[in-house]
Amino acid sequence: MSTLHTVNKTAADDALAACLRVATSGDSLLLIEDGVYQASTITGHPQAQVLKLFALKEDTDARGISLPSSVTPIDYAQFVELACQHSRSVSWF
Amino acid sequence: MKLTVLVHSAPYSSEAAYSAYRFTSSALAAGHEIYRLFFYYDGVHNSNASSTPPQDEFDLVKAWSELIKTHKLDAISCVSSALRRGVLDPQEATRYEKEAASMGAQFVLSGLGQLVDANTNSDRVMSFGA
Repeated sequence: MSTLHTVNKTAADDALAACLRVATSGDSLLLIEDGVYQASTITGHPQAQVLKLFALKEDTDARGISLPSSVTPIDYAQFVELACQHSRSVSWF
Repeated sequence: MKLTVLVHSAPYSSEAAYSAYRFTSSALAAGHEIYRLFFYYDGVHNSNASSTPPQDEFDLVKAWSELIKTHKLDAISCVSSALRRGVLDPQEATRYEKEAASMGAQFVLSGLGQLVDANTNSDRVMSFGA
């Protein structure tokens, strides 16, 4: 049973850290809203290595963020698909 | 799939309510069923029809209302969250002797039982919070 995690906060908040403490292999992590500011640093986190990493393209574009190759940009239609592919979701905010 | 969208955030104070709207629209466009929209805590401000943003700005409250009407969605505002924040339907406004009822006609005041029901009967629940 895999989980889709969404994080919408910058590193000033502990949402991503809390997420990474419980996310496990096979889970997906989607950065949305201000969460996309963490796209460049998340790839260095050991726990992130076992996760599939995504960022909402609309939100990265709005902020001028360029993504590392390990973080896949997705649109809202793909966000909906991700939600359906995982049996549950946790929103960290 | 049957999806429920849970909105914890008010329009304008964060981006989350807009994200929830975009997610809901995209799910409908993809042919999914929205089992329920549930507005909780500050999320009830999305059902405040008195919201009047400048005319050249995107009107999120109006957009929710039109989406709900077009797709005949079940849109619930949590009654205890809403009453605390001054979002009342005509019945509650009369009951509490308030001057105005500000809740949009597309929304229904109800309780957490509807959220429990949505959790049980939806395939997925997606939360958006601030």
